[in-house]
Amino acid sequence: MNNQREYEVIIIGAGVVGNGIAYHLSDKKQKNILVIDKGFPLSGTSGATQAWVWVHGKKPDTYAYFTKCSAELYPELERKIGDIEYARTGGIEPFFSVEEMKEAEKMVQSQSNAGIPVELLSREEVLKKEPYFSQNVVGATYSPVDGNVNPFKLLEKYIKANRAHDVTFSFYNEVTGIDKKAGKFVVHTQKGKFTAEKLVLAGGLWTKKLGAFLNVSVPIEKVRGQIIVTEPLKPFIHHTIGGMMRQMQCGPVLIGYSMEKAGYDRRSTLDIIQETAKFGIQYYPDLAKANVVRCFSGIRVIPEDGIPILGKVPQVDQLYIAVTHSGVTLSPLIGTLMSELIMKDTTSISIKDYQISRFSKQSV
Amino acid sequence: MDCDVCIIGGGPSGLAAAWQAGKTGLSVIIVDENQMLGGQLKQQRQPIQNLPDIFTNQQLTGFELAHELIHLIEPYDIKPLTGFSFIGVEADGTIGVNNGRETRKIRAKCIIVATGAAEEPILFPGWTLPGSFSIGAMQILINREKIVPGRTAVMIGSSSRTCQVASEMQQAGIIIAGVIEEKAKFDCSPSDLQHLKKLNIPLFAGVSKIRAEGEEEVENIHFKAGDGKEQSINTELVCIDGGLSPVVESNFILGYQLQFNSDLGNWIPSYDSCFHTSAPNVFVAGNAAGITSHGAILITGLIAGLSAAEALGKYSNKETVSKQRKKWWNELKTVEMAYDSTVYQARIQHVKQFEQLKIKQMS
Amino acid sequence: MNEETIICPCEDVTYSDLESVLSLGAETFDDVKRFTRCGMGSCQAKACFYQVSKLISKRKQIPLSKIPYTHMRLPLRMIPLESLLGEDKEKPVKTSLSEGHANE
Repeated sequence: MNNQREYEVIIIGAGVVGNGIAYHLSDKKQKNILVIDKGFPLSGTSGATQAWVWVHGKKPDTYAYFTKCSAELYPELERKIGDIEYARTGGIEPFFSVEEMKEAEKMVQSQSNAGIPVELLSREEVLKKEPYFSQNVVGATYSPVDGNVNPFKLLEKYIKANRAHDVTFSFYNEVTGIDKKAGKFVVHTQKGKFTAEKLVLAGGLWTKKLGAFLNVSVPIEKVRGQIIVTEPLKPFIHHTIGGMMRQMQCGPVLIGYSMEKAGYDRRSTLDIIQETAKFGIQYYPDLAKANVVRCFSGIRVIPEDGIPILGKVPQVDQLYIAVTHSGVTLSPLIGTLMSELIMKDTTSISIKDYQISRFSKQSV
Repeated sequence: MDCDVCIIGGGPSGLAAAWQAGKTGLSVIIVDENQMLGGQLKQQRQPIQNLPDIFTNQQLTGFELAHELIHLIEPYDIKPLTGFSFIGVEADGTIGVNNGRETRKIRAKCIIVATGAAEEPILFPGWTLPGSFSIGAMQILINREKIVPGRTAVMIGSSSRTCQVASEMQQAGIIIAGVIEEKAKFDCSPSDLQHLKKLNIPLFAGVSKIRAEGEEEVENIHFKAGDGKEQSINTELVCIDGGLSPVVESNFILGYQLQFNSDLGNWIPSYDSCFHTSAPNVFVAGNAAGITSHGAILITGLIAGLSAAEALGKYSNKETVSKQRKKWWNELKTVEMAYDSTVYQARIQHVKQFEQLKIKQMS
Repeated sequence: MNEETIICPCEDVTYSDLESVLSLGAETFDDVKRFTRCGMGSCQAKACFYQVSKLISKRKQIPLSKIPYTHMRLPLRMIPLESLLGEDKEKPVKTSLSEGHANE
């Protein structure tokens, strides 16, 4: 790391969100960017995910549309930064009862009207798309726009591109305090002080703590998801299976559905893993004999009302925030819009629904 | 299944702990992933030095000691669950074990981690070629499976373990074409060294730039000798002794903290003089508590078993227990100082550090 | 040790793969693991943890004691998926719709 201490923009958080913002800023020729992380990229939620790029079914419909815009940006991102194993597999969200079919029909109608390509599949159509799927399936919702990506490759390529654009990184460096002095942010870290005109809080789970340094309340919850990883198997799951699983390009199948309140505890628990195994086999009976190599847990960052927190923080001048679940799905769009906001004070797609000011309690 | 004490690992320390706990009337389950109890002892044919006093027969080989221990636990409520591996726990701490076909649950009041040690490889170009084995794997092949995997071998490493296995390989008809060691001096005792010299085995210390080569399997090994000269030995096998590391893979799952100690095998559980870790009712014993000699491994098992029984209220007289524990610590000292004084001193430091930390946390 | 020397036999990770991620800035075994898959294979880092940590220690001048032990997780052994099943085999199938999963 160089000895520079003064920057124009400091981004706290080097996950898919922070690195994505740094990428778009630097790509647009913003200079003097510093990205600080208390660990190394992928040590937080970005490294503990199935990495779906999932659109259909998200609520409300406007948010689903917003998400679609992000999914559409992936091919261009991959073209620019290199192979990130982005696969627009199409997403299938199956159901096994007639009651659920009625729910599905409503969702398909509503989202189609909102401009999201989604259709209802019959049992036969599901089995045609996924021959190994359970014969008990009743139907599914399907969108051609869903897919998945390799988060390790995504971060690796972001870092390389950012370095090539002279973004400075400070890893293994925890932020211990933030002040505002004479119009500049002073970020106190384990390795000393840095100053910047603009500050972006993109610290995932830890954004609440970062916000507190500036008396900004960040209403986010932690929800754990446990995931099973099988041994590499020949490609047989061709789509991303909503809410449950997908197969990686190198062969392993990832299975995970759980949503638990567990704080920061990233252990895997036998009871949940047993449940997860059961669902995996119910969806794809052929998986029964596949070996489980390991399990891991990720803690989702879920804003109180379930949709992202993006944009400026009104009560602190030049302070920005980007914290959300589905960071992998939204990374290209968040990076694009936040960089526009930071550099030109305007965004090409409206983010008014995602402002932090929508939460009534903002302490001073 | 419910039990008082669940012991993970049925090697010498696990068996010793089981015996000590079972003697008091506690119900014990020993989980071991092998089909037979005894751990590494099953393939060890050499006489075990410095056995604890409780063993009246002091001339046991590893193999015989395994049988002795299995025999010792028979009269008690000690149930071996062989062929099962400890895989994880439920949110409430219930233990899960799996044999490849089913998962069973065990609810235990105390757990003793007696998972032993695993071998370290040595990395060099060609170390993964067919024909490359760890010395432990070689020992299993020739002593237990009665297989001779090749006609010639070069040993990499020079500990007493290596010398022992080389000698067994020789007896099995494998020609030892050389023993090479990266350190400046051989690790083994002078008598072991003499023994190797008497067998006319080429010995090289201070070597570097080791590489194994061959079309599809090991055919020869090249290295730079201590004097700077390039050497080559034709060989079918390469036996690697990278040393042993304590198996502490259950730490994150069971929630016990680790403390680094380079004289005990690097990361080992923190524990006090009762071999109680930082996780409530989780004890540790054997090589998992620090790489040491057989005699010491057994004694740590005895202390852990005694302490687990004490924790479960099996001893009304606190003084008796303390006295017995002290007696075994003294025996541990004798046995371990004879093996390697650095290990004993490191262990004392390790225990002291944790006990002081606990005092600080309570105040 | 040369560029092609295998450091993780389960996942075929080489020394040059390690060099790449160290030059990205990684300093711990876990960070190397996430970027190279080293330690994610069937032995779950039992063969490679210390060997790779020693290489990191040497390359980055970090004491071995400062490279945290990796998290070994359930299941501690590679086991068939169906061997994990609990006793309640008659549970109805859950789907994302019934669980309200869409927003995740």
